[in-house]
Amino acid sequence: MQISPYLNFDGQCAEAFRTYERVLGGKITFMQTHGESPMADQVGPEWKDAVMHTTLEVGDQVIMGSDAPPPHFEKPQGFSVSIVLGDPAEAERIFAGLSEGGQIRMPMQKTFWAERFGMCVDRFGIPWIVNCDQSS
Amino acid sequence: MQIEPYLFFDGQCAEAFRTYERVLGGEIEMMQANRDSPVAGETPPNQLDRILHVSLRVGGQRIMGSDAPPPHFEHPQGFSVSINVEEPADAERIFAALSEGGQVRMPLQKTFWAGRFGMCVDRFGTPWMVGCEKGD
Repeated sequence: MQISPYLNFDGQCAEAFRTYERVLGGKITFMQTHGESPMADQVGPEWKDAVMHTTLEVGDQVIMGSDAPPPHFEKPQGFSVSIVLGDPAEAERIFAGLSEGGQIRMPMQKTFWAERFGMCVDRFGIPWIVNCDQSS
Repeated sequence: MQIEPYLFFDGQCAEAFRTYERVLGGEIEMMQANRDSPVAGETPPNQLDRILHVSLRVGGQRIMGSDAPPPHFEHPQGFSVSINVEEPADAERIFAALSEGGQVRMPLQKTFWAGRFGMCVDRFGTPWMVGCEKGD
């Protein structure tokens, strides 16, 4: 069984996933637009370049996503993608990369449970938690 | 680096995670209520039983969550937790259990990309996608 976050976007999915690929050091192993898919004739011309499905592999884990066709897009909320890692410098770098141009909800700091912990919403609207626990 | 969905609830986190533990066949490795945590002293009495943090391990992966402290709870949307399994029978069983008392957004069915695929929102408000490459 594979358990993965599936993220919805409003037309910025490709740019968002290229950013996550760079910031998280993963590899996009699949990206298909609506125009390239078997559903090409069911979407308007303005939606041809929107992503129907993409997969980013980071180590043995994946993040998936797509552009939700109008009017199905809903602002992402009520969850976060959690990144847990052991190296504080790497945690700082990833948090800075994700929060660039976005909104910091809780600046990176030491907490009673973590060496570093921070919360942000990236510029594509996705909420993230970065947690650095040196035992992980 | 671990990448995991972090889910927020409005008081039903414990019940939701016990359900996910049973349905997904995992094990809750940590569950802490506010009253048992270092923030107990700052927590209003009516929120002591809310969950500060829970971690459910399923194979080598985790789903984490908590009850968002009021007024920070937001209705979960704009994402899904994707569950991908090997066997169509497991997809059927998991989809049926997650959607019980919730809302089926797309009934589990054969699609051009999967032997089984379905979307639902469970009775605790979490959106799920269940997929299986293999068909009948």
